[in-house]
Amino acid sequence: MILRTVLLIASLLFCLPGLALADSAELVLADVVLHEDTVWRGTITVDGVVVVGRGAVLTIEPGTTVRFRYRDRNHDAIGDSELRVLGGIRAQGTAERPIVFTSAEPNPSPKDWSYLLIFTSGKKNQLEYCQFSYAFSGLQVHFSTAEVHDCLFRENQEGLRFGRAKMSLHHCLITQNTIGVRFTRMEGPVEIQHNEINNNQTGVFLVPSGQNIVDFFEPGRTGKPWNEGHLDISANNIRSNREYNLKLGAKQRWDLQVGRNWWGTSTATAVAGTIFDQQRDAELGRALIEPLALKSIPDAGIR
Amino acid sequence: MKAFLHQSFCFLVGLMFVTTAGAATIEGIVLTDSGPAEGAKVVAYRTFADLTAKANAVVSVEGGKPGQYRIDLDPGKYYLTASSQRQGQSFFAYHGLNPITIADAYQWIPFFVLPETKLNCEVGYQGIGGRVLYKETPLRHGSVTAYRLDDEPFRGMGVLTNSLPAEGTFWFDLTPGRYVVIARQRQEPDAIGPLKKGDLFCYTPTNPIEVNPAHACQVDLRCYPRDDLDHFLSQDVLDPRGKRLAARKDSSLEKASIQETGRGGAIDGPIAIIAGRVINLDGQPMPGLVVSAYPADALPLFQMYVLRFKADSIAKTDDKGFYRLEMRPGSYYLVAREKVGDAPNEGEHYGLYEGSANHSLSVQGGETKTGVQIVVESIMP
Repeated sequence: MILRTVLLIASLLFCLPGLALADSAELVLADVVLHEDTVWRGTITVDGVVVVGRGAVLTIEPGTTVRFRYRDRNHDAIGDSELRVLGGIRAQGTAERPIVFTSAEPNPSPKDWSYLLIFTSGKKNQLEYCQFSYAFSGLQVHFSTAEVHDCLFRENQEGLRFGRAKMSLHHCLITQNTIGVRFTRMEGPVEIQHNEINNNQTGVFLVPSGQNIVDFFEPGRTGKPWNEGHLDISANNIRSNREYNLKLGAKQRWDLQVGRNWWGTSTATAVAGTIFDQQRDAELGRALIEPLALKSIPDAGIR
Repeated sequence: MKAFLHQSFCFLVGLMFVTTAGAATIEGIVLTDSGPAEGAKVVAYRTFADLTAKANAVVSVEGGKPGQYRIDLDPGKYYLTASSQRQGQSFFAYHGLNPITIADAYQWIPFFVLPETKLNCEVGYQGIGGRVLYKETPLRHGSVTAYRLDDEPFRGMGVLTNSLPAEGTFWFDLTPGRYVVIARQRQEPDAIGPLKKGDLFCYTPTNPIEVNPAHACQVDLRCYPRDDLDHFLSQDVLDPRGKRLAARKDSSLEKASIQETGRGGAIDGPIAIIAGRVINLDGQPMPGLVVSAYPADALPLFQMYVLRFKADSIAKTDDKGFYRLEMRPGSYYLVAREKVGDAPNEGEHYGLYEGSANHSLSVQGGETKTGVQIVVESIMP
């Protein structure tokens, strides 16, 4: 009863416009929609779904920790707690004071919480020096615009996933996830540059989403390079991923330019061995890896 | 002799009863793009299942002129098809307004028959693909929808809806089962509701198409324009309408109105109503947006994939941004946007209901919830 009261009061307080929390406050939020511009600092615990409503912007200050409790209301073994942004988000940490999105569980593990989801946003969203751990997907961006840089994605099921989006992902470290980067729909414009993507099971997974059924991709999938010029994956270190550095998903029939990346070796044959594309499945497109970077990209990863 | 006269009188009285209180006479003409389809037959079925099985059919007789037919039907709803043969080529039409309500009054129902298409299924990616053709040219715009059989009468977004690319091609990933595939092209791209004159309706007589595991099916859908004979006929063909054009148009189906919602058909029991307004971030009303209600009862959480479901109810906002949805009692996710049947696009005004964290709203039978506001904004700046 006490907990419920605290949750209620916290939720009500939180709906006040322009409320900034003191560092000492630990706020617990259950299912709630933020309709006004809001500032988070200190420690925030999410115990359900928090929605940043359309028209509102959530600003998260450097050094803030956002913790997500494990709740599984639909019994799919994936934590349901989530931060869903329809409005806008500015989460700009610093190298010294990053913003942390993580599990609230005492023994955390991947899939403890769902994701930070930016969905049909009308804002230019910014995330920098953020750390995402123990999520299903640390970050998902769909039908939205976001710039993500100097962020850490570690020990999630997926580091990040995005579909139809205007995305710039650069200078991030994406490591120890099952899938580092999952790009569904294969629509852009998307730039993935100067990232360090290592020690995931699969580094980068490019797949037209077979689940999307309302025109979520080009009908017919004729192999026409319709997305040419919209996807730039270059100047990254994509190496030492356990299964594949790069994998094309089923029905990904388009040839993709992925030159100027460092794959952990400068030998084309060895690089090809870390890539799942047409060489392993004739139905898939080719990963065009030339020109190869001949050495590790020195400024890849968090600055 | 007296007994004979009595029996004859009773027969005539009985016939009169049947004629005045029972069957309605339907007449019309069946046309190919080169003119009347001589020897054409129109067949009426009570259900789509009967149409598929070609069971319990009522078949027309020839009318007074080439291509014309006549059929007597008891009042009710019917799936009407037409077919003909010419020089070894089979032609077929499935009426775009099926099932058509036949009242106890005369109706003139024309059909535009098209060359039959073939279905080719072979081992491959599981699903259905093909082309949509009008006058043998790929349809550049429009939408194509796959329906499950329980989506009868096959209106709204079905289980899958795609926009057509310039090549007029489509592809659906589908689980094994039987599907009806229909394409439409509206002259007003954002229109909803029944097709209007000149809108294209595209069908294949191979419907329903059975998808088997690990099999890909290819089929062409051919189109005809609703109530637009001028557009349908080839340029060098004489117009068969003659002097009776006005009378025929008056009794055609141009003014028929069938609510085109995702659920199709009537709602059993007391309906529920959700009404409100769609506004932008400045509080200004947003006219001409589509508000869709997606069923939420089985889902404790909002997830993006729910928006791939078939909407249970669809309405358009009026000049002042107001909308009104009629639906079965239940819980619904509400979405307002500019388009139907496509993923959200850059610059599109889009919004979810934000009265709850999972964007859903519950409504009871007989209940009207008003003042349900949805805020939209242009996305992906």
